[in-house]
Amino acid sequence: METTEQSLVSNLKRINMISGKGGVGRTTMAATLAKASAKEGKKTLLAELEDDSGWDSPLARHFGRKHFPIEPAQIEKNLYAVTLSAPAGQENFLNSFLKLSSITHMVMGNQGVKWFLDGAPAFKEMGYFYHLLMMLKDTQYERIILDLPATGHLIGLARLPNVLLKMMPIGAIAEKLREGQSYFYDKRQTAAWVVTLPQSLPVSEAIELKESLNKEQIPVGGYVLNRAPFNPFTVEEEAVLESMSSKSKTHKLMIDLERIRRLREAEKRLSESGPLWVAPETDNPFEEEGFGFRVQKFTP
Amino acid sequence: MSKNSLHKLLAEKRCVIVCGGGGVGKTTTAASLALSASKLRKKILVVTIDPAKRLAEAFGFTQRALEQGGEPILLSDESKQKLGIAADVSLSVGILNPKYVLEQIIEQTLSPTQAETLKKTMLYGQLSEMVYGLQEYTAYEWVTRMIKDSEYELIVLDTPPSFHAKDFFLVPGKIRNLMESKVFQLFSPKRGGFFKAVMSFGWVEKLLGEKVYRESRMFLETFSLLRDRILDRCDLLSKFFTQNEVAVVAVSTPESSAMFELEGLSRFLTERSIHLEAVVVNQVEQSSSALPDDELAALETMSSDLVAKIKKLELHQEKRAEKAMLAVEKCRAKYPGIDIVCAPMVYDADGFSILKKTSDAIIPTI
Repeated sequence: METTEQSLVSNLKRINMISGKGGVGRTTMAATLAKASAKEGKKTLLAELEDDSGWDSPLARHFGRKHFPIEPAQIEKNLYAVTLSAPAGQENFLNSFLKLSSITHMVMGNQGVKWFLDGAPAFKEMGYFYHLLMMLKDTQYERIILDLPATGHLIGLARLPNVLLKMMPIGAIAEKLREGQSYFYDKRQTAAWVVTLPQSLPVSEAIELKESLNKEQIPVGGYVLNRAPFNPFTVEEEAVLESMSSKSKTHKLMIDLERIRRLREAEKRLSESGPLWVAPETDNPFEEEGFGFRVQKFTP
Repeated sequence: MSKNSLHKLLAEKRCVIVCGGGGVGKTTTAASLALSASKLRKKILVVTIDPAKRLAEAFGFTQRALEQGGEPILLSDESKQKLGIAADVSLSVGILNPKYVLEQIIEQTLSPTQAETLKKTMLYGQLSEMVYGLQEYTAYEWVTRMIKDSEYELIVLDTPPSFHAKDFFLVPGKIRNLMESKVFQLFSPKRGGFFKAVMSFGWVEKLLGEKVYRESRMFLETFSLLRDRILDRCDLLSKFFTQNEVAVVAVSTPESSAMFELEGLSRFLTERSIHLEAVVVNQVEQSSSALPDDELAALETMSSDLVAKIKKLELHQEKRAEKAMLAVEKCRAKYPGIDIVCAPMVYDADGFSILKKTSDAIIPTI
C-alpha cells in the first residue's frame, strides 16, 4: 500500500458522480469539490436531480440558495449550477427527435403524451437521463460534478439504458440511450466517487456499492473516506498506546484510540478494494485551507 | 429516577414512529426503544427496514430471515436472555420487504390472471425502485395490518431511509397524486371506452415504439386495478399520524446538517398538526477526562513527544464534545415543549452491548 499526498480535485475526471448513503456527508463533499474545482480555474458545473417534494435543496443551501435553476446559471466565479429535471429532459429529447420545436410543443401539449410521461414509471428517469446527457454534451464545462441523492439513483440511472434497450433496440430513443451509455462507461472522462465514513457498516456498504457499479460497468474513481478523526500519532506511537490499553480500559483516551483504530481498519479495507482519499473531520470544509485540494491518497 | 417522555410513550402508546434523515441512527434508536419497552409491555413488535448486520445479530437473526423478510420473527429465549428481557415478554422483529408486501396486496386485489399479467411486464420489475414512496407505503400497509391484529401492545416503526426526514409523512399525498394522475385514470377500468377513444395515444406509440408502448399500457391498465384500494389506504394513512395512540419521535445527531433537517421536520409536523413527542440526539461525543498523572508520568519517561500529542488529542476531543453539547443546548432552546434525549456515541463492537447501552441512555433504567 502506497500513501501519497495528492489532490483529489486534480484527480477528478470531466464527469464525476458523487454517490454514497445518506448521512455520510456526500452533498457537502460534492459542494466542496465543485468549489475547489472552480478555484483551480476549471469551468465547473454542479448538478443535482430535481426533488419533486419542493423542499429546499441541501446542496443549494451551501451556496445560500434554496434551489438551482433548470438552466445552468453561474453561482460563483467559474462555477455553474443546474437542477436536472425530468420534463426538461423529455422536452429536449423530443426536440432532437422531431427537429422542430413547434412540433415538440404540440406533442408536449398533447394531454395524452403529458400524462403518459408524467405517470408511467421509467419515463421520469428517462427524462433525468436526457437532461443529464444534454449537460454532458455541453463541451464548455471542463468538469461536471453530479450529486446523486440515494445510491439507488446511480444504479437506477446506470441500468435504465439497458432495460429500455432490451425493449427497443433500434430507433431514436435507442440511439440516445447508446449515446448516454458511451459517456457513462467511458473511464477516460467519467468516474463515480463513493463517499463513506470510518465505521464498519458504512465501509461495507461502500464496498458493495463499488461492486454494483463495477457490475454496471460504471468506472469508479475511488473512495472518499469522510470525517476521518484527528490523529496526531505515528503508527509506532499508536502501538505503544495500544499496549497500555489493557491497563486503562475505561479511560476516555481509549475511546479516541478506538476511533483511530476504526479509521485504520476502514483505510485498510477500502484501500484494498480501490484508490482511497481520506478527508479530515472538519466543521466548515469551505473555510479550511487546502481541504479538497490535498488529501491523503492510498493506492492498493 | 425521573421519567422522560419516551418512558411515557413506550408505556402508553400503540405505535411509535421513529423518523430522521439518513445516517442518524434511526434503526438503532428504534431497536433500543423496543428493548426499553420490553420492561413496560408484554407484547412488542419492532418493524425495521434493512437492519444493519450488527443489529440483526444483536437480535439473533439468521441470514435467511434477514434476506426473506415478510412475517415478524419472535426473538429466541437465548437472544432475550442476552438482552436482559424477561421470559414472559415477547419481542418480535419484522423486517420490511416491500416486494413481499406488494405481492400480497396484488394477490388480495387482483385475479390470478391479472396478477400474472402485471408481474410479467418489464416495468413491474422496476417498480420498487421507480415508484416513489413504495417502500414507505408498504411499511404503512404492514403496520396497519399488525395494529388490526391486536396481537401487539406496542409497535415501534423504524421509517425507511430517505432523502428528507419528512418524506415518510408525505407518502399518502404522493401516492394519491400518482394514483390520481391522469394516466392512471385513463386506464382505470371504471372509465368507459369513449373516454379512452377520444384520447390520442398515437404520438406516444410513435415516440416509444410499439413494444414499449404495449408494455407500459399493459402495466398501467393492470396497476390501475389496485387504485381504489391504495387510495383508500392513503386516506387512512393521512389520519393515522394524528391519532392519539400514535407517537412520533425524531432522531438527529449534533451535526449541523442533521439539525437543519430536524428543523425542517419539526416545522413540517407542526403545520400538519402532527405532534412531535421527543427528539433523540444520537452520537453525542462525551467530553474526555485527562489521562491520570501517574500514567502520564510513566509515558513521559518513554517519550515527551507522545505526551504532548495526547494532550493535543484530548484538547481536540474536548472541543468536539463542547460543540456537541452546544448543539444539544441550542436544540433544547429551540423546541421548548419537546423532550430532547441524548444518546452517546457507542464504540462497542457487539450489537448486544450497543443496544443495551443506547437503551439505558435514552430511557434511564426503569
